[in-house]
Amino acid sequence: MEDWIIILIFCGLYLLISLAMGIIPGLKISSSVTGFVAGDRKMNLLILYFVLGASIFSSFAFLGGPGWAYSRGAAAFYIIAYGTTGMIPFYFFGPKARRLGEKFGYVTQAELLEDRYNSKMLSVLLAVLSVIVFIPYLTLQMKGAGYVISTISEGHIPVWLGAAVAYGVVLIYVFFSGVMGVGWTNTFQGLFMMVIAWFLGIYLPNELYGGVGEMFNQIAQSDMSTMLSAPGLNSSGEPWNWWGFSSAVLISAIGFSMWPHLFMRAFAANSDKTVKLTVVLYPTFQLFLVPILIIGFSAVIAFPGIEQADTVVPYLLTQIDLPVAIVGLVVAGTLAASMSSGDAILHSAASIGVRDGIAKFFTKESLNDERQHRLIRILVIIISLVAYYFAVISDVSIVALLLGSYGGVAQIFPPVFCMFYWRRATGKGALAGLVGGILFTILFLTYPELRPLPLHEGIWGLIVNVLLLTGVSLGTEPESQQRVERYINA
Amino acid sequence: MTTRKKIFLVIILLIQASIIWPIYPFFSNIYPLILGVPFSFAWVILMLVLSFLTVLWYYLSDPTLKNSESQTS
Repeated sequence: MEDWIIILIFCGLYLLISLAMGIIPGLKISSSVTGFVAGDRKMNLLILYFVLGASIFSSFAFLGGPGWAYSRGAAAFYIIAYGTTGMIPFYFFGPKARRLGEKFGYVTQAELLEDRYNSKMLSVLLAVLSVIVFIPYLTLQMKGAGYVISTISEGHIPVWLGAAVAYGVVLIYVFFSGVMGVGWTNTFQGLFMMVIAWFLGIYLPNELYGGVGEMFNQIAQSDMSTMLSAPGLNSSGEPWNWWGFSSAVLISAIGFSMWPHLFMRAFAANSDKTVKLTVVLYPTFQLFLVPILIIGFSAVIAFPGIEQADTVVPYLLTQIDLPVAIVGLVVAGTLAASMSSGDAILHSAASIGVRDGIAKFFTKESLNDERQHRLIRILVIIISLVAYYFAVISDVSIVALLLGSYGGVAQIFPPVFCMFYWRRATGKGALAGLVGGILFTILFLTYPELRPLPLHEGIWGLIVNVLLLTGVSLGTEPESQQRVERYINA
Repeated sequence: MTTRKKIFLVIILLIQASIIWPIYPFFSNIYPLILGVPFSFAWVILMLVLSFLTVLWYYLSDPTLKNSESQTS
């Protein structure tokens, strides 16, 4: 049998297990919106841990992470750096959000904000933004999956088919089981990709250099040595500056816990303890970026001059004489990384689109729980199709949009913080801050030369955001006492 | 704010400053290699471990968890 067929059999097995693990929990979940979106608020520690961890490690971790290490060296440490503190705000916000959700029935981040700030606009704005950011995100995951299958099958399976099969599976279990499908598959996928990453991260340096230390020694003694001193290189291969590195770490750490698809998992947790322990244990997930980056470093001396740094992992797989079973497992691991993020994003985009967007234009009677549930499922299909269209048919450049997304997501931090800790914050203030922050982020993303200092555009957005939030809040009527106290005392 | 929370926030802030400017530049060199990885890399990993231990301490000393059902954070 030819090698690529064996590899595809491994992928097929992996997909079958994912499908089964995704469908089974759906049998036990109520067919309500809370069941679909927040798993009836019954998620335990194991599942929540993997949902949060595996959603973050997308195909970016398996393709982009090693690519960064390969081409930019120490700059890639920024991915580990922002996760060091990025989850900590969730230790404080998560349990509060969970308790309020349980009491008042919230299942999304925007619902929580809407009620505190008494602003439907805020909710619709967040819904529109989330969907705009999520679709390219999903598209990238689909492209990653299709690309890996196509490369490894030596072109026998085209990208469109690979993406369709992998995301067909995702569509089925998200449609069927909602967040519990996401949870169970992510547990399996997360474990799987952790094992694969550690294996490759240890195996490759040993195989190519005789050890991790020897590998770094050789890089340090080559003319590539500058890449190993922090903050590494910038995208054009010149030494990066501390402004750029520090502000990128900072803005990503701030935005980290604000991602709507992560934040809303607080509503799925079964207790405060679960949320807190998830945050405590999160660094164990983050640690698995260490072997991921080592994989990238392992190609620096052995395979110089790979044009597209993001393809370094598939490139290594085809260049090194690995047992075919291992290649199969690695490919399946990459699919797991892509799908474990893709499913969470797809589920959240549809849930948010309906709950925070469409539902706001109808009365509770005309769009009851059952109809909403059905509508979310329909949106799951529509969003899959749109993302798929961009992934295989359209050639629009989406990477740029995604790069700006962390700056945009970080703009949610000030209103969330003030929701719990500042009585005087008002709806108009939150709205003004959010809009101003996002506009400035987009402005400086598009015209980076206008920035007064070379800081990440999101930092400028945040400055504007905080100024507007405080200024406008103080200039407008406070929100009602009762509304505010509920959040402060949550 | 409790003393416990203040200590926690100060440590986290220090860790945050250690992985960006102004502290990280002092620990950004390649040598000495620590367990085979460049010092700049080992430093970030060390901060990750410290952050883990700090949050773990904060969790274990959480007074609200003494009673099985917590009401405040």
